[in-house]
Amino acid sequence: MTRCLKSGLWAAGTVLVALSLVACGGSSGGQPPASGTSAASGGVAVPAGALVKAGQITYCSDLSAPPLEYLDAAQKPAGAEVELGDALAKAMGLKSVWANTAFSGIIPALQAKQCDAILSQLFIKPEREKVVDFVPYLYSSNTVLVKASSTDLTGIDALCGKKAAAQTGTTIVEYLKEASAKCTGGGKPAIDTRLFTKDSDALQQLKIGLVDAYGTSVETAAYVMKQQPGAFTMAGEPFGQIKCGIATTKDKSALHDALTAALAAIRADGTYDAILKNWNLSGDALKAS
Amino acid sequence: MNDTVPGPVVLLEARDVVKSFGGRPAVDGVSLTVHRGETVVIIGPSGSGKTTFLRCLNHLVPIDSGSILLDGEPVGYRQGRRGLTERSPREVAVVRRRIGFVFQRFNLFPHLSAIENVAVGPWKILGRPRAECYREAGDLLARVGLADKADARPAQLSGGQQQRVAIARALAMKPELMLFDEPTSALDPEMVGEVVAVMRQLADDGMTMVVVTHEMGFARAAADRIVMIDNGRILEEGPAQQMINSPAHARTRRFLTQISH
Amino acid sequence: MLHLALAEEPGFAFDWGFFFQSMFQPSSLFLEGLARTVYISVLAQALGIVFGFGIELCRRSRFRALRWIAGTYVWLVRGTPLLVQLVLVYNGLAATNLYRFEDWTIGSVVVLGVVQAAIITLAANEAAYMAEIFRAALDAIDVGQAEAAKALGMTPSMTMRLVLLPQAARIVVPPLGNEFNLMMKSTSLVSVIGLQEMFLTAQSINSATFKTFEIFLTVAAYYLALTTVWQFVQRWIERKMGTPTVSVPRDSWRDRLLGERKRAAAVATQPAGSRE
Repeated sequence: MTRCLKSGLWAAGTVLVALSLVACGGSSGGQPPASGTSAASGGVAVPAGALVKAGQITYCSDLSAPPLEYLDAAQKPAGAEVELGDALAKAMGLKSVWANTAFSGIIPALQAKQCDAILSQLFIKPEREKVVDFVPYLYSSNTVLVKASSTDLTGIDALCGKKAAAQTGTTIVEYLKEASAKCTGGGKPAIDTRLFTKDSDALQQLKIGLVDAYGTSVETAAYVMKQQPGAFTMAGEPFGQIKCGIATTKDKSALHDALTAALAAIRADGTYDAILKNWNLSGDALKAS
Repeated sequence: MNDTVPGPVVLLEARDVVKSFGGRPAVDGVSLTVHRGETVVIIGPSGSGKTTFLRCLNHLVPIDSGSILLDGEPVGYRQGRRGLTERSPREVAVVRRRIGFVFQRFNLFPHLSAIENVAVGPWKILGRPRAECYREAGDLLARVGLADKADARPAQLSGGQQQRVAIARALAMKPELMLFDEPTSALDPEMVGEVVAVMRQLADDGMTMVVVTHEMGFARAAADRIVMIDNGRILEEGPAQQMINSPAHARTRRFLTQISH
Repeated sequence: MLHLALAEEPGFAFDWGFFFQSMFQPSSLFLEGLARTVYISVLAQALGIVFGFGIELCRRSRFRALRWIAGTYVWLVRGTPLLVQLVLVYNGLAATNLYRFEDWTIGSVVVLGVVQAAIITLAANEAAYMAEIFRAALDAIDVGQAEAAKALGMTPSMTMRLVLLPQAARIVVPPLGNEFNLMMKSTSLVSVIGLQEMFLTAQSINSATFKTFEIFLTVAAYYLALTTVWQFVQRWIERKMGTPTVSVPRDSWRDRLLGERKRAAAVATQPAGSRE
């Protein structure tokens, strides 16, 4: 009997150790944290205890949406927001670490302390503001991308009875739902919206021709159009201009303040504008306050 | 000695049958002629090839060389221009319907009742009307003394009862020839008698039978001829009385003494 | 560690209201996902059984080509992940312009191309596993059964239909139960091709409400309910197929739920007289 008990305790102990290693690993989605730039003194202080791990800031980000955040050919994080995040970390004297997180679970991941902040083109919306604090840093808009040959699809309202693909949890999904409700209200068939865990999977559906439209941010759409000139067009004008924010949980006001200060710092010294210019996103810059 | 006198018509003719397993011949050139109405008993020590030979007769075991003709029709092999070619499974199945086979371990279908076991052949294989098949099955079960067990499953029957159902099942197809592969070897001694009684009655009724067995009581009472097989070859054969009372070979004599205990 | 995090984080509280509402008053979107999960599982499993049996018959065929094709199929399909197969069939075939799954309208019912692809791929995948299960079941039947059937003059197809298949069916039911249980959970993988079944629906709700624990606990409960219903169905099937001499007694509710089963007891006395 005691022998059973002992081996049982050993087994339980090993399981607990394994679980703790997994839980405190700091990343979800199975991706190991990728390291960003090394720390240098940047002038913005971050109080102790504000970070999950001292000396580094971990960002949750869905690295599947170029040109803002994605994994390059060498599987390293790249993109405009990655560079912004690295610049902010440098200003705070921290190392930046990127945790690739599925967008559909990104806020819960932050709540579960798998990262310090979300930097993933997260739109500032009221229901999200109830749960997290935002540091606005960029503008964005939504758009719908269609094949260049689909000349009849002139806007989101023209999608009645068609199929559209988008990433789970993104705001464009709500616009598509609204448009679909308008369709059925007007006696037309609904929009068949397909959801995918990765933005790039949704794009693939359009590329293969399994859907008629792909809903995404205008930045990603512009990037796709640049990669394949002539293959796609935007259906109508971009809409729903909205601010993106870096999200932190409500109890981390110190970190929130540090990020605000760091953002101000990189805007003052021109780093912010340089990054946006580099990625052709100057149009999305925050207006000088 | 059985009551009917076998006619001169040859029903089954096996000639120079050879069957080897892994290079070793189990049946090494056995020839046998069986006339209509005849009861032939095959005896021999275990491993002598007698069971293999019996299974060759209805092509349960395909032969390597030789010929087996049922009423002139080759069982299992077609005589082509270039010698023997194996017939299709369907053709072989048709020939087998004329031969009944009783196994040592009964091999009743466990998911069917006794009467279903007996009726399935005529009904599903011969395509005769269901009511007729079940009526005849009932009669056959009565004939083997199991009318009251018609709805029992094989698992509910004793070994002797199962074997009698198996005989009824074979008879339901109205075969011209019945083959028995050591039908009582798997039975407890008190069950042997009931099965042997059924077989004797069959022989008396004029069925052509080839029986591999150790039951010398049956041989004495019902056999017309006894064939002794040893080492894959026929050692000796002859009329039953002669084989039992005065066999020519010493080996035969010794074997008979052994099994007659 | 999860429990430490819960203790430190003042904001976290299990939203019991939300949990009970999702459990007992699920949204229509969620119920749609549930319905999809059920009918896709049932159809895919049924087709898988039929195809699987067909493949096993091919493996026992006289013709070497059939045997080879069937063997290769089982090897390929069992050797690659279901997720990969789903992506290859739906996305891959369309990308290479080999085949595109279009929506079919049958009467008033629209069968989405995605649903067709999901059912076909799940069924084809299941068939490979069912073939192996049938193989084991047929091999388990005593060889004397086929011999007796042959001796009576049954053709190979009669033997299979009248003698072997009825006996194999009994042997197949427990592993089949396993397979269906797995199938119901494997349907969550079809979310990768964008089919809105229960799991994908839960993900959407999660991203809108941020209540991860509550919603995924609800989903787990629903999957558990489905597999439990199947458990009862399987038990009923086994009882129906039991032989009259072997009675399968009814379990109490508690026993059934917890998986305890009374051992099937033989009603008749053991048959006397067979030496072996």
